[in-house]
Amino acid sequence: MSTTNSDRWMLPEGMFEAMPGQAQALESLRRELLDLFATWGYQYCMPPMVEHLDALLTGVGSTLERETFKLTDPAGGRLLGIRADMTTQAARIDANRLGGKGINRLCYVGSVLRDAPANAHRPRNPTQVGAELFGVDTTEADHEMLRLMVASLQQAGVDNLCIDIGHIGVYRAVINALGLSVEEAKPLYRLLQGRRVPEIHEYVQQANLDAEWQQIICALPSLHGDLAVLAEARELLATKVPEAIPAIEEIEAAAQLLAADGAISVHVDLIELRGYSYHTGLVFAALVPGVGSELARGGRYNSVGAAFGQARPATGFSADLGAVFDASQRSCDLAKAILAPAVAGNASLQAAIDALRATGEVVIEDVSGSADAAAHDCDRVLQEIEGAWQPVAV
Amino acid sequence: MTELTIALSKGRILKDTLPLFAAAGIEPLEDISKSRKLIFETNQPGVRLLVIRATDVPVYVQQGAADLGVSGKDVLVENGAFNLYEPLDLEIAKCRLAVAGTSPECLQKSRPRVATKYVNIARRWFAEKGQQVDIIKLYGAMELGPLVGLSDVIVDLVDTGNTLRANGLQPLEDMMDISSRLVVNQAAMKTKHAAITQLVDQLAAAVAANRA
Repeated sequence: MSTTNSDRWMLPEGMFEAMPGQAQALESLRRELLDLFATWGYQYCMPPMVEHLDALLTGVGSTLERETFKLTDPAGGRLLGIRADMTTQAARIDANRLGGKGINRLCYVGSVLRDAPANAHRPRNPTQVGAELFGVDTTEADHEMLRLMVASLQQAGVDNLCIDIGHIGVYRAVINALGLSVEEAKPLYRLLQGRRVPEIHEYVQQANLDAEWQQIICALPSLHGDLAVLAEARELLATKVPEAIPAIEEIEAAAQLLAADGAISVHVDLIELRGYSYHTGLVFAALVPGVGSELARGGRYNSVGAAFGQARPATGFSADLGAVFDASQRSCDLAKAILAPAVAGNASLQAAIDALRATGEVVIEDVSGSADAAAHDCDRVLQEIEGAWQPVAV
Repeated sequence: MTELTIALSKGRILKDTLPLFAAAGIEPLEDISKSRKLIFETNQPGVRLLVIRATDVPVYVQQGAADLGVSGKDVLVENGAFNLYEPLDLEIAKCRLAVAGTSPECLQKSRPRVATKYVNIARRWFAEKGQQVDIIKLYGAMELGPLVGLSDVIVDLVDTGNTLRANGLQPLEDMMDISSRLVVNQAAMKTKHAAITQLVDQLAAAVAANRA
């Protein structure tokens, strides 16, 4: 079916493009975040837009089968995917290209393409920005990543940050103690993920659990809130699920790391199951009140490089640059410019323009001869006064 | 007080919803049934109610345009509960979702046609039974389908069964119990947890009092 002239202008569903002003502001934010990552020792890499599909759908990408756009490679006939997430690409670079040795700090930014749920109001082609720390499995590494995520959002100028902290180990300990395999626990997992409390009550009835277990499972959906919840969780799980205690302690340590910053509100969530299929430890996300989805999220995902030849401990975070920008107080206004006469071989004028541009000023040559500063979005004009070119306010 | 926006399903569900919220201390400042407005302030500063179509409630809450909502379980199962928590069964607007037809033989055809507005639920139900069906999406008056030969059976909500009987139909397969649920945006549950947890607890108490 051919496109008619009348709808050629139309973009496909959910495709975002940035207009002047907005694009400039997004680019400034992008550069600032990459500069920030660089000062923390994160090395920038640029993985390709398209990879073999099976490479994209391992590890962190394992849940992205439905969302990933696919195409066939004319050279060789293999199935390719357009990346829906860059984390797996960074994991491949670490485990394979960089040899999977030592500690690697990598960062990236790029356009990803993913089919979004019909009701998600984010674009299908967000710009993903992220950082990953490979090769070390310590609390200190988890804390560095959490602090880097917070620093990124603060750099962007996001106020009223709420940081959500959880740990996959709590849920894993619960299903281990129940004697359920991951597969057997799937029904319970789905109910907990949606906090479907009425169905969770039905589940514990049907599963023939004893009274103490019933109490534990039914209490799980409410194990979130301020730090007081951690004591509650410890008490609840102490006898039946002692393996959950170290995970709770990790949540507590991470929460205390941020508690000193009065501008951040910390929310702990013991059964946050986002990314459950690949996360292995501490997980965290950044939210702001009034925005219905996360701005950034991350956490530990050990052994993800195994698919590329090296099982590597890893932690990282990524954010949707556009969502972060929208939540920040940044403006889309372009800097006001200076309108200069067309140079036309005038050496002193050229020198004056060059000097101004070297200081970062925007100088627009009036190539149409309109002398209309407002039409060029200029608040000054360059005038020759007593032999010297000077910007004069209009 | 934390600002909260609550999306309510209008119509039949609303009549049963408002007393529960009143018991939880939230009452609209004007009579919703006598107004054409869509947003209502309440006696709690910062808490406002949106009164919208039942099928739109999950959309508002998923996108964060509302922090919480009241939605039928049928709508949640049909549309998928992405980005939502479902902390409470409000035990109102109870009914069942069922397959209905003029007689049990209607389902014996090798490829029955099913008229319904619950396209996804119907597709999943028959797929799990291993039965190939053709689904016809309708927006209302499903009962008409089998009577005029548009479909062999229907998938629809059944309350008393009077509408089915009046049209010569009978329930053939009981699919699930339906009632209205409180739904909460996942991000709002975290960023406004104190206010939302308190409201959920108060509503739970109101539901328990209703039951008694």
